[in-house]
Amino acid sequence: MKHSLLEVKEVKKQFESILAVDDCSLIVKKQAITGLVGANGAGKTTLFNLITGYYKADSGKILFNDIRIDDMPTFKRARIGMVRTFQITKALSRMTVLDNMMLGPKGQSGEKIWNIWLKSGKISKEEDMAKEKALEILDFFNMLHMKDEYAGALSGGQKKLLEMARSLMIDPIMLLLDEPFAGVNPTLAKKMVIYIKELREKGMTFLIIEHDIPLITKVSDTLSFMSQGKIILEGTPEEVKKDPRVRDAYLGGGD
Amino acid sequence: MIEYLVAIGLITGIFAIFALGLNLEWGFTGLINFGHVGFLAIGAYTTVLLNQGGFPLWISMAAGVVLAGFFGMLVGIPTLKLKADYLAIVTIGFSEIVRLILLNEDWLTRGPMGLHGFDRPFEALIPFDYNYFLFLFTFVSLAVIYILLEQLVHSPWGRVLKSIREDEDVASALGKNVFSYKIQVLILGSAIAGFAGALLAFNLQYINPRNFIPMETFYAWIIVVLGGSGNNKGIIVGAFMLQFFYSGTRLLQDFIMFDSTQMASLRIMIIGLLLVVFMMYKPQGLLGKKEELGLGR
Repeated sequence: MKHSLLEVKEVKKQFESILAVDDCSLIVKKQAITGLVGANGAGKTTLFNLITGYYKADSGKILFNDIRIDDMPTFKRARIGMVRTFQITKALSRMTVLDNMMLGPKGQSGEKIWNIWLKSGKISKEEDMAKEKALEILDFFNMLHMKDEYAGALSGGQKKLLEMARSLMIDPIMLLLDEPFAGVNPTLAKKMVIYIKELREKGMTFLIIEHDIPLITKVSDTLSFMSQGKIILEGTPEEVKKDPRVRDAYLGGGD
Repeated sequence: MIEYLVAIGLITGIFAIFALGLNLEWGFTGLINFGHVGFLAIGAYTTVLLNQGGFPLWISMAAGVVLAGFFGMLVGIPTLKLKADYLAIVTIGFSEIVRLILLNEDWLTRGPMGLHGFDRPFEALIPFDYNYFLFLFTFVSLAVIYILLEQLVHSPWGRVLKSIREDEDVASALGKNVFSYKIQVLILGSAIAGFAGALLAFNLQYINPRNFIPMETFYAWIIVVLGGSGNNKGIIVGAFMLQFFYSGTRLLQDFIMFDSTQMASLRIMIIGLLLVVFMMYKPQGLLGKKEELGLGR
């Protein structure tokens, strides 16, 4: 059995009167692709925000690679290899697509102010490498021709793609994708599924929130079903889909 | 005539430097600093006071720049973790505190009497009208600051600043220490203002707290908006444009039969009108990019 990479233990988050995440526990194994499903308002995105450090949990523990990260600021969590995308896309509007991408790599010498004059040679070498990689990834996402456009001028689906492409520039250990397929055309979505699986083969771990059940079934090893702030069901996609509570959440009913 | 042009050119150059500092903060990083003048004041007073206290001019000037940057950091540390609007409130409060201290601590600053009688760079060595030299000195400084800033904003460091301006959540998701960058920017922007303050003191030869009212901050903002925020070249052009509006309206005095107070009010109205009309036709500023305007978050 593979070792776990992310462990969420009895995490709780309350907003005013709403208990958004309630003693929620989740384990993501190394090199697994885990789908996180559940009705709107179940607490999936809040859980993402807790895992990545945008919110601080009221109680509970979060471990990444056996390190406790609940007190770590977001940027440090990203540096140790945990990178996310956002449900409502956050393109850096007034920057070009290529600049969005080149922002990604971590440990860039040129991000330290003195190096700009002290290590200009090293910086331009790093920039060339980053650019090459950026163009490669953009090419995969069929966005190469848009590299010099402002990111703000892209369509909603393209912004989604750009976000995922940008996260890949960091070489994350784990990628948390918040509705990566929403607004992406079906052909490309299928291509992304294959790509995600390829990346997993290379060692990457995924936690994916997605409402598109056929797609998330296709891509995930296991599904975790969340309801009212808790993960109430885990299993293979086939098992989870059969459960009446899941059917209720996705096929009408609701309460 | 040439003396007049040099004199207004000088003040324009100083304000261009002052506004370049603000542009780094607002134009590139999205920080709202409504108290930029506070750092101008710290630069000016530190330079003058240390020089009057017997320190060599260069050391006094360097201390002014460093101290302005240091206060930029002090203001930033408690506020930059909060959302952008708080920085605006804190900075405008800070600049007023600075001004009121300068006004009331007579033992140090001579309060409203102001300070005069201090060295100016190479003053004893210049055989011709000193203003010509100061003009040259200001524009060489402006050029150097401009070039350094251009190198900065086009570097990976500058790319991080722009990402913070666009959406700081993304910057942190990508592992950038947003707080540290904001502090660096505030230190640098304030230090540039401090340098402009020293130049202002050399130009005026006499400084008092009235030189550092909040309006000075908003002149810098007008320059940034006129020239095109996030464009260093635009800032320099914007400074000249504001000066053109400002001095150009002075010529009206020859044509309109108002007394000087009425004239002063009329000028302000005309300047305001010119700014509004200009903004209607060029909302992105003179050198700003129009296509960026529609790109909200």
